[in-house]
Amino acid sequence: MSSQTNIERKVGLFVFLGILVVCSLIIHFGKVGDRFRGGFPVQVEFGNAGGLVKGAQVLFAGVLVGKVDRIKLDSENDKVMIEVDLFEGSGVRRDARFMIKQSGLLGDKHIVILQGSRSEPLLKAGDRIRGVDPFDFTDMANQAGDTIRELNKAIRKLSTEIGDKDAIGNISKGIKSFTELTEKLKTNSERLDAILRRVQKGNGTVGKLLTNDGLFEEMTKLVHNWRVYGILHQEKSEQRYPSPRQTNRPQ
Amino acid sequence: MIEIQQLCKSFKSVPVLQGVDLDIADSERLVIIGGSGCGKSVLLRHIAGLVKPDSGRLKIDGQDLTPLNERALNPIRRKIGVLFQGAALFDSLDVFHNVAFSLLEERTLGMPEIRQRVAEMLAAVGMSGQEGKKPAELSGGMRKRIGLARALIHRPRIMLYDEPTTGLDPQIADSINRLILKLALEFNVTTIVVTHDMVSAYMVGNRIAMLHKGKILVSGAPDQIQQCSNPIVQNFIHGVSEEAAAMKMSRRENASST
Amino acid sequence: MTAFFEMAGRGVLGFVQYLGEVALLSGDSFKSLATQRLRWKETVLQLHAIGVKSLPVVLLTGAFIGMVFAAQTYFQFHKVRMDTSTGPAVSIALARELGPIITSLMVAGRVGAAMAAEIGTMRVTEQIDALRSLAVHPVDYLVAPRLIAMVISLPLLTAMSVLTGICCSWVVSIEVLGIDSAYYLHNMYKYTDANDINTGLIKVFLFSFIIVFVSCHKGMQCEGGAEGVGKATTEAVVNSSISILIANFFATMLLSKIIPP
Repeated sequence: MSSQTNIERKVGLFVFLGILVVCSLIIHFGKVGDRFRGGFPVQVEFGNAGGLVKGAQVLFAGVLVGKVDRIKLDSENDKVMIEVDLFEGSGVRRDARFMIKQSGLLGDKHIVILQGSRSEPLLKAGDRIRGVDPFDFTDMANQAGDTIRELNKAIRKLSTEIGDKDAIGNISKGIKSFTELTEKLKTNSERLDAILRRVQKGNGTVGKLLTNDGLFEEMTKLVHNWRVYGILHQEKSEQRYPSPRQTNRPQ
Repeated sequence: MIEIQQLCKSFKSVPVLQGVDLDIADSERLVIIGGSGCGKSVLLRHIAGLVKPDSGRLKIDGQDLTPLNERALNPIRRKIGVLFQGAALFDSLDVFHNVAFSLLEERTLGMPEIRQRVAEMLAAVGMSGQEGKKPAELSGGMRKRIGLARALIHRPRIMLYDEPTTGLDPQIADSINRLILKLALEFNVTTIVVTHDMVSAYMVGNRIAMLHKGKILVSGAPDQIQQCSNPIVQNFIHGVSEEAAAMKMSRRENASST
Repeated sequence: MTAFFEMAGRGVLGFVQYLGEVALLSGDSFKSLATQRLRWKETVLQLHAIGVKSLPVVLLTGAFIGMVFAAQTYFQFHKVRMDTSTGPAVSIALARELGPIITSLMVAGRVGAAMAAEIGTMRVTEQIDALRSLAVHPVDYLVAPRLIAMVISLPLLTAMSVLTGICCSWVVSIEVLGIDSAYYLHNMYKYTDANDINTGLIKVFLFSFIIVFVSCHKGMQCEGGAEGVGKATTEAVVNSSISILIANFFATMLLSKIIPP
């Protein structure tokens, strides 16, 4: 009989300890303790929660001063209301700026508070303030989307205004001649290519002209002389156009 | 009153019982004999309500057992006590809790009364003062006695014995037989014994039935069985093997032919 | 060719029959729990056999699994300088998967085998029939107390194993691997949720039924003396372990829908 009571005692201890462990694990990791820490709710309005989750940290000057308590969509104003539970005595002022930031390699989001001016009163329970929306790529994409939308609109407008057949016919004719033009241009440019190649090598008159430095100098002198003494002579030409030797020739 | 009509049972399509008809009157001491594997233990387990027959009827005090489910059988089982071949004591429980098992389960009696009943029952089977022992500490004969005490404690009206003397030395077998007889008379219970031990059969039974090939071959008082002309019965009760019987037969045939 | 189909058919039928038998046993057990009184003495004995006696082995495995997992995680995380993330990785893995699975497998091995052997022995020595002849339903007397004891013990054992694993992994991380303790604990606290613990506990709650039903069924169906008992014991452990691993996958997928990770 004594072994029976002994077994009962062991079983009782086992069950008691087990329940204790279960409860402590759930209470500890369930962060139940944080719920009893004195705090007050503040509502922060964001345009974009940026993947913030419930329980995310709120840092003020790098110090943990609260947790994100609730995130709900305010569909009327196209905003996200983030309810933040700030600890008592954290001393955040009313015009403080709330921003959503990313921390660490794990890509967690948290809220950072930048203190406002000293003249403002402290935040109190139930206050509603605007948060500073993060610049992010989704935003940019949205803006780009807007631009594209505008462009679309303009094009549509254009097509309705010049919707008559004549105009379309003219446009298509125009396009046709434009293509012909480009065709010609293409053949011309091919020819031009061959010429240019020759020019580069310094063959032919133009080529020599371009590559022969002596010729250039002679030409400048000739033009100078014309200006100073000849057909291009103007008043005070000597002062206006100094001798080419003194100018730096561009390379 | 137990009535068995056309009871059939097969295990994995091997027929074991092939239409057993048997009536057992109250206070009767019936011994069922038969060769090993002839199905006498199976028949006993049917009477105990442990096995469901394939067909046929089995009535105890007018109530048919065959359509009843496991839980509905329990009231009938309380009328029946069974001593299993190996006594089937619960290894995890000591002698007291084994014997008191059905009383503890019924939960109608208080602990002092249960203690008294157990002590009385142990005295009746000659095992006084062994309450604290574990089954593993007991010899085969003692286990059978405890098994008997356990089966009898809720005062059943029918006692079933499955080969009560198998595996015991002749002296202990004799004492067990005497015990069965004594208890049958003392408590006025209907006793059904399954055995292939003829000494036991003559000693305990006031009727003997022989089961052969799944049917009751003969049944009658012990002296009727002894004088029965059926060679199968004669060979069985005199312990003549089939080979010897065949040899004897062929010799007789040879003698008659010459 | 027909022989092949015959064999396949027999296999499928056998499996379906097996499932049916286990389902019947579970049905009987639930019915018994609902309608019959629970045998407290038996239940306490089983709580002792399942819970108290499994405690050392379960704590030991929990401790070493926690430590080795911390070390392996650290080796990988250290490459990207995420040393203190070892804490949450270990705690979440232990709470969600390793703790429940290792504990269940250890208990299935230790207790499932014992159940099958015990009930199997009772079966071949006619003790089950003796129970029935004494007007006691074997499920009431043998399965129901084991089921209750297992359902209570396994979650408690798991929680203890998880806690031991977390503590031992902390010791190894701080003392041996030299991870910063404050951030280790902070990250663990920050990223581990009550739902991680709950998920693990819900899973072992399911596994406790598997262990009891599979093992008791094997015991009840046991035939053929000592050899049969041995076979039943082995099969009970193998079948319950495999069932646990399979059930774990589906439970994880299902729970991820109900309790988002």
